Amino acid sequence: MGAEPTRAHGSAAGERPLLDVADLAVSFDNTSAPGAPRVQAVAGVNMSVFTRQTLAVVGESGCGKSVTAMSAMQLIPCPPGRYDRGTILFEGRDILSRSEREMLDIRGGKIAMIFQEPMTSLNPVYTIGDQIMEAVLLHQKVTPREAFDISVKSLEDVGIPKARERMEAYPHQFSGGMRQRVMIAMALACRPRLLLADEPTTALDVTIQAQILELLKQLQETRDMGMMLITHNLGVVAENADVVCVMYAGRVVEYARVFELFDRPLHPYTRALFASIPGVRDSKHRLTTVDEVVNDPAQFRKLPGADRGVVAWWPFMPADARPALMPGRDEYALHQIEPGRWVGCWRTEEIEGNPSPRPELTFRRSSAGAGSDAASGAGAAVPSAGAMRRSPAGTQ
Amino acid sequence: MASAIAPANPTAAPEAISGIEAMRGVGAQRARGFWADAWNRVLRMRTAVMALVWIGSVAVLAVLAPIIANAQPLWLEHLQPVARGDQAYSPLWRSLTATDLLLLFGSPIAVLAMWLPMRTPRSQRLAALIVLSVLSILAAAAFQLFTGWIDAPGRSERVVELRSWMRTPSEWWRPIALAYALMLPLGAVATLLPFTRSWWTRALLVIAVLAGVAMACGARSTASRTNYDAIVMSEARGEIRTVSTLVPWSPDRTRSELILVPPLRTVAQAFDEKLERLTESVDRAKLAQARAEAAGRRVDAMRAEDDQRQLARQRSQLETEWRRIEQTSFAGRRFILGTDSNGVDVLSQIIWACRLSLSVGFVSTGIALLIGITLGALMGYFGGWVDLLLFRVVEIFMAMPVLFLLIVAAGVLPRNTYVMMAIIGCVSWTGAARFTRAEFLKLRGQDFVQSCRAVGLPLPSILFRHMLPNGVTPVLVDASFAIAAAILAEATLSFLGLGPDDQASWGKLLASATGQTGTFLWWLAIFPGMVIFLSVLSYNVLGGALRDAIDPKLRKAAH
Repeated sequence: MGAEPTRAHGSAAGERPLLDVADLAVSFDNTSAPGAPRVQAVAGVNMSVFTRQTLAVVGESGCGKSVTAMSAMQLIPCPPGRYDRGTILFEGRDILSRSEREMLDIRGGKIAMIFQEPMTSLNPVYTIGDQIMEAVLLHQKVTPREAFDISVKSLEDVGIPKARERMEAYPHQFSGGMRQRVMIAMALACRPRLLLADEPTTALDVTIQAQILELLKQLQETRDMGMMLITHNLGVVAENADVVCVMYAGRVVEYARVFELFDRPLHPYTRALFASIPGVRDSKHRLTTVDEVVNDPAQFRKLPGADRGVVAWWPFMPADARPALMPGRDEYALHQIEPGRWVGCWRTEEIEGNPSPRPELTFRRSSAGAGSDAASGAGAAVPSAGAMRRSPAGTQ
Repeated sequence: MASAIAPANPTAAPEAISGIEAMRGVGAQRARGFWADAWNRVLRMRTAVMALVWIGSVAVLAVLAPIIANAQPLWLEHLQPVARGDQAYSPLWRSLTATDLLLLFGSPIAVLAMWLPMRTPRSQRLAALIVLSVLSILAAAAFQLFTGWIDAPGRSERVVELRSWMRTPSEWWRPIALAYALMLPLGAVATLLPFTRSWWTRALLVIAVLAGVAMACGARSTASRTNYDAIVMSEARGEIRTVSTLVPWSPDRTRSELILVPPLRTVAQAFDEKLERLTESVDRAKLAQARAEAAGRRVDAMRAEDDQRQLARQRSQLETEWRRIEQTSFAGRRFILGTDSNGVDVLSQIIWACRLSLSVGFVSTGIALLIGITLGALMGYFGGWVDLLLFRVVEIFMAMPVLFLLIVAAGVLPRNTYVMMAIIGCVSWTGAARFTRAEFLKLRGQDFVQSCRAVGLPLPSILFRHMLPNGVTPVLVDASFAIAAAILAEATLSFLGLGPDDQASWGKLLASATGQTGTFLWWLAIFPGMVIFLSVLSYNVLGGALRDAIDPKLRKAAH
């Protein structure tokens, strides 16, 4: 099984990914004690984002989601941090080998980022207009007057009323939701190719959260942009993502199309995540914890090919339950279990003998049809306007 | 009930608006920036306003010193027709130096540029003004250096040729053109500094400012020393009529007859008192001689006779001098705060010394801020070995005793204002560096700094455009105290006789309060001492007010 069948599986054969993270490993100096081992925040991550696609990266705190996103902009502070290995191809060129000067153009210009905390992400001493215009002037060859118009337009795009007057307002005059809109306007004013949204709605209340995500979805469609959505919220994933990447301890444990993942999670950890969501109709005294699922050896046997030696990777698996590994190699490998589905596995002889292609899924919700089949209680609703806009784009 | 919901008069401003309406922009007002807000809070404090009034009047006196206190007449008119020169002219205007001209014309323009409502925001105008005034100071200093160099004796043929080319009286434009040509490289550098948004505004401003500086410097490229007494004498002869300034004295006008005149005496009174004292002395000498002769002490009698003769000669000299000037306006001039041991008016010295005090305070603090903020920003932002290394430098400078360093430097280096400013600035930057470092350490982890980096802003912009305004407040408070400290340092040095020797200084005046005979001259202690005290107090009060206005914790406690 080579790379070709996987590519063919996508809707547009041969489409190049916008962002292609390959075997990325990032570690940090542990300054707590001299001579302490480095902290391996990311240990060999693979993922890819295509234009107009939303890749959701989920996982618990500290699993390396944000570090992966920050690496895509070379924003990891180095000395404490270090890029150990791997490449991050953006539009076909490696981000990590670029100089700081080249990165200044890419940051904000081609790749933009939205942060978690809208309350503190804006500089309190400058007006909204100043801050958006600075980014526009930096990345686009325009006069200040044109930059002003672009900024007003981008504020209007994110749904801020009276945008022209609001250009003169300071961040403290805005509510959290409006500040996040301003952040989005700032990020999108330069029409980036890729948007890294690092928990863009965590600090907002649920109604604003829905508005912001809807807005991001719309803007992504109209602007032909790829998006990496980092979140803890599986509901957000179900509603917005095209492809999901579940991470744990700096590694990808599962990588699949959103509907397939929600329908049939393969890795025990993913199953545990779903099991821990309280349902409205279940009556339980205690919620199922992740530990309960992943400590159950039976869960690991459910993986297709478990009898052949394809065992899901889990760092806390007892030594006697682990399969025989390839000596001298990394214990972990991202394996394609079936077409379009990847699961992090122990590197056994079976897996070493059947090398699998790197995870690449060009899937987008609309091109897969109505998308209602896999909604599976998560209430996934595809915006109809978005779908209509999408169809002519697909024929081009 | 419906009337309660819908206002009776829709055009009238509603009493209260809901949050939803506020979000739609109803009743939105233009917000004041952080600095405007802080400034308004400073202006609400009475002591701070008083301090500002004092600092403002010192600044006004410093700018207007040559017009307020000058021994040169404001206007001079020849009563008879003259063959050569002007019938009537202003000797004061002719005596103004390039610096005086720049200050007199530049300050009103700067004040207007700050106060007139313009489209450019005030902060940007302030930045432009600071850059342009530093540029004009540097340009004027460069031209002064140049003229000093070509005027020095023993220059080569070519330089002498240049000198005579420059000073051809009929070609007045030559020194101006030369000055402008000399200043162009500085202007090119200044255009590169990003103090306004578009480069052509910068170029335009720089060209205009340099033209002004060149005109002032070129027109006053030769210093003309005037003889003050000549004017008095021709007035006594009835040749001219003069109009003098408010305080008709200059710090460089000395008269040996008018030493240590107490306050509020006119020249006539001073002469009278002196004549009276001399008469008394002559009488005393006569008495002594008579006593010695009666006692038959020949040597003492001869000595007393000598004394008496000498005193009588002095007296007659003084009297003839007095007769010469008796009828002039000079005789009616008043020493409001008395004179010092050189016979120089104290008030005029105090007024002129405002310049020294202000310039030492601001320039040395400016130098200190420049060094301190740059190093502090680097330390705080990068941390690690940069911090480790630079903080050791800070510690070295903190260990230096500034006053002793200044005393040594005053002994070794040329004694002028610039050296003094540079030394005070170069050793007092550690406070600014430490405050900036602490603020940057706090700020560098904040989200907006991260988002600045994610937008792709270059490092200088992140450091100085985005982080600095958020962390500059403690530095500003510190700067206010640093200005006070610099003024005190200058006063101390001048008091010790190590200040710039060609300029009036408050400290120098204070030093002459104890006369050579050990007498205490109260007016020489109280007035300059008061001015020093008020200035230092003002800067300290202002610094405290600024801190109160900025510190959110104190602000909450006040409400």
